[in-house]
Amino acid sequence: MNERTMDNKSPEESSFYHEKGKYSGVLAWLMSTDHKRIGLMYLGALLSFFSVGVTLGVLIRLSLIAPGAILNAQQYNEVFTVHGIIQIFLFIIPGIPVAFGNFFLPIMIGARDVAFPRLNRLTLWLYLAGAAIVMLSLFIKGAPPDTGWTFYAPYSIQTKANVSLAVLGVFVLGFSSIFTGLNFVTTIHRMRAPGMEWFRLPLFVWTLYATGWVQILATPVLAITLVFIVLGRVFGVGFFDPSKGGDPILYEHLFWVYSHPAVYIMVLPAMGIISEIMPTFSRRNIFGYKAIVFSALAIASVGYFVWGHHMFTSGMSDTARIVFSFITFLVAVPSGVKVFNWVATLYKGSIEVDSPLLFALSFIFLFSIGGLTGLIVGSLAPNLHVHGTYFIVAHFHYVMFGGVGFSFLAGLHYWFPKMFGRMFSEKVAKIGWFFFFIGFNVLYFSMFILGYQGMPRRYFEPPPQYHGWSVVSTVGSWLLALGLIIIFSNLISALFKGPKASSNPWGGGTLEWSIPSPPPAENFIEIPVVDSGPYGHGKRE
Amino acid sequence: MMSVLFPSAAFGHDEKVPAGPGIVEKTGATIPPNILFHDENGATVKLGDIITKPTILSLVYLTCDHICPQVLGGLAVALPGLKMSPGKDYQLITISFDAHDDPATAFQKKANYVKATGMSFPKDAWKFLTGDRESIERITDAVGFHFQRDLHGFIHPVVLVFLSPRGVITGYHYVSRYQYGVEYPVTFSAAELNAELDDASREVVTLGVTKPVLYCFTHQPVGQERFFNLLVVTGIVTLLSVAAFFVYLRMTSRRSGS
Repeated sequence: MNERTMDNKSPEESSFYHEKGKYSGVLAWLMSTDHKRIGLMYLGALLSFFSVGVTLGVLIRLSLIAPGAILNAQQYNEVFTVHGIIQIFLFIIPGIPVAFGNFFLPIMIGARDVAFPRLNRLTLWLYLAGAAIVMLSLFIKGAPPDTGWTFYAPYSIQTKANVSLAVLGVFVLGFSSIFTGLNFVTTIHRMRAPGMEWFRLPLFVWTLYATGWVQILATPVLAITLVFIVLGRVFGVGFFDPSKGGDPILYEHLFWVYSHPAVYIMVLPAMGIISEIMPTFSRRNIFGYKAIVFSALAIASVGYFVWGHHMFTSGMSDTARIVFSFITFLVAVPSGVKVFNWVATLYKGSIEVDSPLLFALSFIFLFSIGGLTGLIVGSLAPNLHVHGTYFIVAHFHYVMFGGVGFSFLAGLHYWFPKMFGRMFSEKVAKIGWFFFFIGFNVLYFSMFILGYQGMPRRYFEPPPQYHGWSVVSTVGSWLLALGLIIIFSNLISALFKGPKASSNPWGGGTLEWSIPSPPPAENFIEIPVVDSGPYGHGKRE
Repeated sequence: MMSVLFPSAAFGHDEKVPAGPGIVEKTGATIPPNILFHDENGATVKLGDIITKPTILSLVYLTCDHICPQVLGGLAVALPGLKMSPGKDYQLITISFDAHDDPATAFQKKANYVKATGMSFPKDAWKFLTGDRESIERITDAVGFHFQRDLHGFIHPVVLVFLSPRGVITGYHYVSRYQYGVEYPVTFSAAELNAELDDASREVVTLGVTKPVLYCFTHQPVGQERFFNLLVVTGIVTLLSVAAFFVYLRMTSRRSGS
């Protein structure tokens, strides 16, 4: 895996940014089938939606400490719904696979592109179309959706808000997700470089593989469920309406049959990023490679059978509840295996605490809190107490934002030099991380306390005894937002003013660090021949 | 069989008879004293003769396996917390609105719920009455309780009726909350029952506050089975095609990486 340089051009000039294609200007990007360009467009879109989602989140926190001053009750319902829809469907579910997966999957397995480059471009278009439809539902006549991001029936069938349009948007996004999964699975099966055996694949690739199957299998269930919602609203078909022979509980089942595996669509690639970062920054081979691989596959498969834990209080037989609770405990085991392996990788390592590692370590800490509180809400008796409270809100923000969000930022800092060929300021990145990390815990840990005390979620005006911790939580949201502003200003200024990055600034051992930063148009001059496992080979330059 | 509890708005205090099951409050009206029922021992009793104290009247059907047992159970465990003593200051009457129920079943149920109170309970303080269709219609009409026969039982509202010693309806207590998964899903607050019995003893009539009331009903939609079959078929087809895709990827040769 030696670094290969281009013969007569500098790495900058031969990068994919300078490739001349059929189109120019914006179309050179929109019509491109280059996985790197598609990945970057996804990244731009994701981060734009993320910033909108965060702004809405800060608005929710503001409204909660002064109900009525900024938003009225209906607007509050709309804002938390749109916050959820944007962060879940437009940012975190597509998130890591479409941005980093697109950019790095082919490079990491030694390929020139994904298996179906044009299908890849179609997924981007579908994503943009889906996002546009969701956005349209906010602004056209009628009200923005006010059902919560879960679109629970029967309210989603009855409300006058623009639920049909939002649901259609999510449906289109679902197809984008299915095609991405199909493309990645095929790419990993078919496009590996000579010698890149299954157990020589970088762990990020393995998690994309497991995620791909979940996308292919689970997303159709969401699609059909959303079709039923639209049929109910437009044609009055009563799948979920008891007065017409339907059943609202059925909606909850169908929805969570997709939406719980979707948690693993988000989390598995996040775990993949951490598995890349830990060996690089501790200068060690990953501890327990195969255990991490099999735990990813175990999470992806067992994750299909735990959806009932979202519905412990909805009306299920005790047998079903006990079984779902038990399987929920089972799915915690492979996650525990991973955490153990990451920590063990650090042991006796030559650790360099650069910003990607800081974010990765924060991931382990926050994801562990999210996971362990998941066991609390996954057991039947405590679930009755905390169901529908801020405890749940805190729990899933620790998993999704503390887990996937931090991992996304870890990946962004880790691969930034490779993607853009520029270095950012380490110092500013760490300052940003500090505010973000502290703000995050102040914001969401208070919610655990509020939830334990019984504060119900989704209330516009919480009872006065919860005011104190609500204020603490809101102050946390300001710190968090400040951290994000520092982090992204640092990255944006690095895009324009950052010093040029070498091909391997961190000393990573996987294939992407063996090619110039930013990578050339088709990644490799010659397809590399792989003769060893993925980690522990890189030299910092 | 699936039972679903579904809150719905209670009917207000007007004379409109609802099309379906529900409550039309008759507060202030007097129960006709001459309605005949059988008590749990099989003896014939006249309603006017047994209503001599403040009375909590509940209307259920004895073969119900949904919310009716929960209501009576919740009521039974609330009784020890009351200020008044049963049999002396107040009594309970449970009337079955299913004409097929007989005194033998009533006897069993009574033993069950009296035991559930966990206190020494005078024999006559809780009566379980059954009767013919005509008597049932008279009492349910008198208290404005409308029910409907269904495939697997009855659809009916869940409510307690408070009667004064002279048989005047002094108030209704709607059951509007069902806590899933706990030992007693339906609970009654002793403070509320105390106040309502106190009103009944003094014959103070209180108008019902419009409050969501729970209905007891069975729910097994006819189309559900076909729908599930559809889901099973599409699910299996999806799984098979995904499995075939996997086998295809594994069996055919790898394309060159370029």
